[in-house]
Amino acid sequence: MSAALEDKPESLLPLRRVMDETAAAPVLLYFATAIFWLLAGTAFGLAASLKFDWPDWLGAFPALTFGRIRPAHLNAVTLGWASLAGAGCLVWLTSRLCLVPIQWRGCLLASAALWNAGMVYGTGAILFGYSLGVEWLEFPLPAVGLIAAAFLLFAASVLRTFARRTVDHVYVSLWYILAAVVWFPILYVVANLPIYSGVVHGVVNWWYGHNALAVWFTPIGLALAYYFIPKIIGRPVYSYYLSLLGFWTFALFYNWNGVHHLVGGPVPNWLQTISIIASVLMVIPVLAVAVNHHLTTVGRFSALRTSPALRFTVFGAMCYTAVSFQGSMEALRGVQQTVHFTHYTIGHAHLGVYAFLTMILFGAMYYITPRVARWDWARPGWIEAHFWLTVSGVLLYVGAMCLGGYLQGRALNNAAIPFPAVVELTRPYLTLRSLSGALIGAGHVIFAVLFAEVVLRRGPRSQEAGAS
Amino acid sequence: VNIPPPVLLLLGASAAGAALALAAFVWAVRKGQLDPDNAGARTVFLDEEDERG
Repeated sequence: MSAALEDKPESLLPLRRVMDETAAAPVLLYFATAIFWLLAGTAFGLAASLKFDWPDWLGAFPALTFGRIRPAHLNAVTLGWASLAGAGCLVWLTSRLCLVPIQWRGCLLASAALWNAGMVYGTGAILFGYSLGVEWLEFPLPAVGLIAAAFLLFAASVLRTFARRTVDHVYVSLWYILAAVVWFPILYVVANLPIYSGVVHGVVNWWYGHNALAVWFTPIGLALAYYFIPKIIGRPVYSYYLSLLGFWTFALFYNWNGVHHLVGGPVPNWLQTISIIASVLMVIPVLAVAVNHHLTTVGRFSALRTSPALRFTVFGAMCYTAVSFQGSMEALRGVQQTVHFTHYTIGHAHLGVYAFLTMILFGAMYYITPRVARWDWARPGWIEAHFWLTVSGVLLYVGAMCLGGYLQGRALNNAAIPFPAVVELTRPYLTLRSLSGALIGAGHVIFAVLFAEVVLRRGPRSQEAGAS
Repeated sequence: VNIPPPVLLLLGASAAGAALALAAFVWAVRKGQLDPDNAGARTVFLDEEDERG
């Protein structure tokens, strides 16, 4: 805090300043630890990818074999990076939209500590061979308990802040935030209960796997996009009513989608069909978001040149449209017959969790961090490099995986092609994936250095609101 | 009908989630949160007003 303002009583400070300073410690703690898991998750992911090129590499170490570092990558980037960064962003955004300082700050600090303890326990368990072996649900129960407790503390603070709000209107971003903090704890706890077996376990597995996106990651991304795009451009969202229609249709359709991961599997046909129908109906909320974001931005694209936060956010929002349409089409039985069990699914997942969510998180963090830390980003050129490295990396990644996966699926369906030939067919695409992973990883290192400089106050002091 | 206990739990959890969403929707309608005007869109700028003044 600047010397001139330090002596003022809180009631005389601008409300925005009070909100930011109240949120600073928990938000920066969430962000700093999120970046740690981003770097760890990137290292796991890159190593896992390189093993397709050099299968024996690191094979002498059981903790670093593919079967362990691949789930370690998944959990580090989803429950670690995206969830912690998302939680920090939601805390700040809830305060701004409710026009009240964040409540129960101690709960948030305890939440960040418990969350990271759960992450260390769970990731360590996977690396040392104690994974539960269920995709997306690999963490053993003690780690799940720590993260669930952390989540409840986080949700309590957000809901308390909402209850104390001084604004009557609930902005569309706040609807997405409320949906996320109410639904995700139910999903996380229920899905991790050790009571399922057989077909029910498979259904619960993908009910969770897809709904982690539906009721947690997607609401985070859309809440941030609906705030930052109009905010930075300086123009209200094009059709507010359409945005609300988008939210409620999203709430109605998205949570039915999970079983489309099991199309063709030993699951009741009616269950698969309902899921496919709901997946296609997702076109409605996606169109509502896409049209709204585009028409809000149109005519102001020049702002993309001056605001890195907007650039990351708009790129992420465009990728939301792309990944959602891709997902609706991918759920169809005819498409599944080709792309199921191929690298195509990996490309789709990265278009969602990385190109959509992670890019919006980067944008939000570029905007929020200087405001809560009261220190500006030091190196604009490095932010440019971060953007172009990650954009080129993820586009190369998704392109290689989707094309390679499609060709892989066609070859797998051709009984005349021997399996080793199918593996050989995918090799160039897997090498491209490693290359794109290196580009993305370089971007992450740059972002980590930039963030550390702000927190350690190595760059220029913030004049007021930061330069993003 | 013999429904396994885990499925009953899932049905209960799903019903609770749906009930919460329905309650929120009814509350929003009654409070005029879903009125078809664009006034709510300006909420995003309210946090700047204390400094404009």
